[in-house]
Amino acid sequence: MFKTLKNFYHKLGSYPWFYKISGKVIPFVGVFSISLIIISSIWGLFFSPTDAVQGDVYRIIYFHVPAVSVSQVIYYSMSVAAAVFLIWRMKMAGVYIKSLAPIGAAFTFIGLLSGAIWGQPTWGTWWVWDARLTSTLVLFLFYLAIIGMQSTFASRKSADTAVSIITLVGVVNLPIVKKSVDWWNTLHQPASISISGESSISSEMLIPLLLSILGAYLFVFFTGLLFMRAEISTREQNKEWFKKLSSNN
Amino acid sequence: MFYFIKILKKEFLIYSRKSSSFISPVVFFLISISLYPIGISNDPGILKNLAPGLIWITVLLSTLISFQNIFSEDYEDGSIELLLASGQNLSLIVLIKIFVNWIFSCLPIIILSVLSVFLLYFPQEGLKPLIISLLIGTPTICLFGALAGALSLGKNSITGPALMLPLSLPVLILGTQAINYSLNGINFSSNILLLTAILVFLLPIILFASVGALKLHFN
Amino acid sequence: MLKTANLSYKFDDKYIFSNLSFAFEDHSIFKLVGNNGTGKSTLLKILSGIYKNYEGDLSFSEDDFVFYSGHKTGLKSNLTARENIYFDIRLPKISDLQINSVLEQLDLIDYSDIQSVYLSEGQKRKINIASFMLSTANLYLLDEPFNNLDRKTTIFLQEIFDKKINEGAKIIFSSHDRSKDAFPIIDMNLFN
Repeated sequence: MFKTLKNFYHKLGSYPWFYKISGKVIPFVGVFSISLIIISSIWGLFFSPTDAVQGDVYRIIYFHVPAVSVSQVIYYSMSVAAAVFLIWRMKMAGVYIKSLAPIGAAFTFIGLLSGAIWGQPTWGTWWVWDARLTSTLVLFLFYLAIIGMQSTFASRKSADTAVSIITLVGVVNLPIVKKSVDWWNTLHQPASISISGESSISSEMLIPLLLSILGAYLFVFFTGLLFMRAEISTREQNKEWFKKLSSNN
Repeated sequence: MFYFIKILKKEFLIYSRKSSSFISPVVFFLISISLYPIGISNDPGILKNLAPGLIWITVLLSTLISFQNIFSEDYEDGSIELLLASGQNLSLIVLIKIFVNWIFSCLPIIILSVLSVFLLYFPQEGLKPLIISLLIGTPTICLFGALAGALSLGKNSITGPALMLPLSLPVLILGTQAINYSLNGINFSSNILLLTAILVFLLPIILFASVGALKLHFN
Repeated sequence: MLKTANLSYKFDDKYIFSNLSFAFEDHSIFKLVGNNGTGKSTLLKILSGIYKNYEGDLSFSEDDFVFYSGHKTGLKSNLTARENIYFDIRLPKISDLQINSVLEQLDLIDYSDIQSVYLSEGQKRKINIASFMLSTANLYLLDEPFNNLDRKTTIFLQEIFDKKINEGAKIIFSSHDRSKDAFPIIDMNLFN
């Protein structure tokens, strides 16, 4: 068991292997994820029941919740990759962070935007400075810092190392920000509107929601593979295996 | 030891010659402090309530202008290469640089923040927590500035501010809260202790990270 | 004694130079020559300890003290020539008298209290030569020391080289100039 895992890890670190396999996987994941997103959107927008309290506005949940959930999970996965890069110097981890950062930033932005659009009619405000929103904003800033860092270093390896450090700093910093905003709110009397607890949700609403979340994860998988392939092809364009591969096609 | 004293003296001399290093934060602070009453309201009641946050934010922003000073010139003129070639303990050198930067870019503003009593109608009894929280909080912010400066050397990117702002948030919150607590008659010592704990805890970590970031530019 | 064995350096995935093996004895001097981009400066930075990401072996004697002078002078623009030498981190504690003496030999004494931002490139180089003269190191790594120097100073610097070598030092310096002088050459073009 351990041996197969180790074997898989070594294969994962190899650019040619990844390039070959991802090329085969991408079309399936792409078709599957996009159709899931379309199905769950149509289901959520037209066929799931209207919410008793919020009315039809709640339907934005089918975009908001997947985006927010994905944006956090991408960041956590990037910090795992950062640790892998710093400890074992696995180059693929650097490729992973660089490719996933823009995707994560995009989803965080969608999450913030859809949250604001949802908040306006429901709670009467676009924005509340509570712990969750503030830490999502900070998450967005860290994504921007990671993207901005890519161009600061001349050497690819240095850039990957620096980006890994920032990613880890961010993962430590995020809970601290969350906690400190909580302290802060106790002084500024807790916000009169609390955006927590979606109460209970009926299964007719839940199924398309779960589908949309699954669709978002698969979409990240799909775009992640695409971006990583693009990144590998720029990094390895002068390598023998890559030239051979592109001349074969 | 001789080596580090030499660097300390050299840094002091360089900063004292470069008058912009301490004049620009001071001018920035004075301009902001006098703009707030004009831009927001000249009502003493309102200003009094906003003053703790306004002062802290202004200090934070003024360090945002000066954090590039810590390493960028050394990088341009080649001094960092000489430091690396010396084989001496780089963390200690970086610590000296941060310390001198703090003396010149933060300390004058902290002293000037007393002026807020006149300009922002800040109550005198709040001065003690204001000064203490600034004295303990700003070194942490300078540390973050050093890390951001070391990471974004040679390029003027969004990275520095995008990194510094979220890192400084807890310090900002704890600092302003300490002042507000004391103005409302609540004991603020726990906030000061937390600020101290953050500084002590982060000092070695951020120092280590900054040195690592500096070395990354020479690979 | 400074030895390299199969020393290679790559930037990302591209080798700048590879398999460089040399031994530098005391009392020796080498001139690094080679086309642009063959890694002259890089080699000096590796030997001085600035770049650590090399492949192969690099060994020093225990009593080797390195003095490195890079392409960038390391001078602080708002310090005077005298202060720049006094606070040069490569030097031990030196007296004003010593500084005056080298500045005089380099015809810099009239400029000794002028901030270096107002000095010419050649004069800045000369300040670095002053540091070089005052240094008590025994392994000198100099990147293009003859750049921007007038004829008189060029000859003067060559004399200093001779003096340092006689005292037992090792000098490695880089140059664009393949001709003229009698220095033994390391041709970086051979290691690409």
